[in-house]
Amino acid sequence: MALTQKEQQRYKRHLMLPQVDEAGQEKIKNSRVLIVGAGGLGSPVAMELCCAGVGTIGLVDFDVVDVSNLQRQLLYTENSVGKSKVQQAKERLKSMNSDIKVICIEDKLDKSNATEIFEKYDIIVDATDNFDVRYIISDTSVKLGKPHVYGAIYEFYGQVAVLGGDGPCLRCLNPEPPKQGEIVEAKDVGVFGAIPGVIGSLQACEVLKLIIGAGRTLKGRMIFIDMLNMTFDEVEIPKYPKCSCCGKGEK
Amino acid sequence: MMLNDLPYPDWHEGLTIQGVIEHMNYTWPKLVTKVNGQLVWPEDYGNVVLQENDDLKIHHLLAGG
Repeated sequence: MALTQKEQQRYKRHLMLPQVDEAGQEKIKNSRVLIVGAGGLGSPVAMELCCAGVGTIGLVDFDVVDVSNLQRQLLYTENSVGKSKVQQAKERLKSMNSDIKVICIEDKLDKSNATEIFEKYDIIVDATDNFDVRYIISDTSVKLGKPHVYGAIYEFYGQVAVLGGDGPCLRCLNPEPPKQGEIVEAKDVGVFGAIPGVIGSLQACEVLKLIIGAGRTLKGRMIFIDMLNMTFDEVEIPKYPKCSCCGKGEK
Repeated sequence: MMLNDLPYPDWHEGLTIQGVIEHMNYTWPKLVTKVNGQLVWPEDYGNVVLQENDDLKIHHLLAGG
């Protein structure tokens, strides 16, 4: 679908970039991105993609807004407390860009519904807060051949990678999620307020680059950011030949 | 040998990545490890013998959002 005159005005600064231009903006407009998790990471991802003009944004979250979310979850206001995250997010996103479509999936993502939900989208953004769902996202993205834009945070630290599609997956990094009780739950850990904004914006940047096919994405790479000491590191992730999901599962 | 950009004072012949993890008492269950820029898969932590000039990086694999 071509851009309207109003859209040409709205996205003028994108159209000035040769890496985007009108063809790229049309791709952004016609794209469908699913964000799993509408919290700390999901907020900046959704807002950035909304502003950039992603035509359809799906949001998966079953939770309601808690007052302790307001320290970092940019989508919500004091009036959102106690209300459905995805419904509040939709209201906010539509007020930022009424041309886009926001689809609310007020449910827990699990093995039984992941495929049906993911099928309708081009790119899957992982903005969840636990390993179990992250492995479901990874496995389903590989199964459907869709890119999985991974982002995760903890205290002052964050990491981003592009997994899934025909590249390596989360199981190439670590074959299995941790066992129950092996790891502290996200709700019991501190998070420095600005961290999700940084990591979520990087995820949104990778999503947009994947849509328009610009530059070098983080496909098969993970970056690590220590924002307490402001240091950066990265690692190439080769496909693990024995991977039970994307490899041959050799023993 | 360097560990996360700092000199590792306890390097010795035959030291493995698993040896460093245990000596440093890293208890995080999911790690991402690289030696001289190359990812090392978890099943190889006990097999990769570190040399005196190696650069070892150990990161936590995070899940918070």
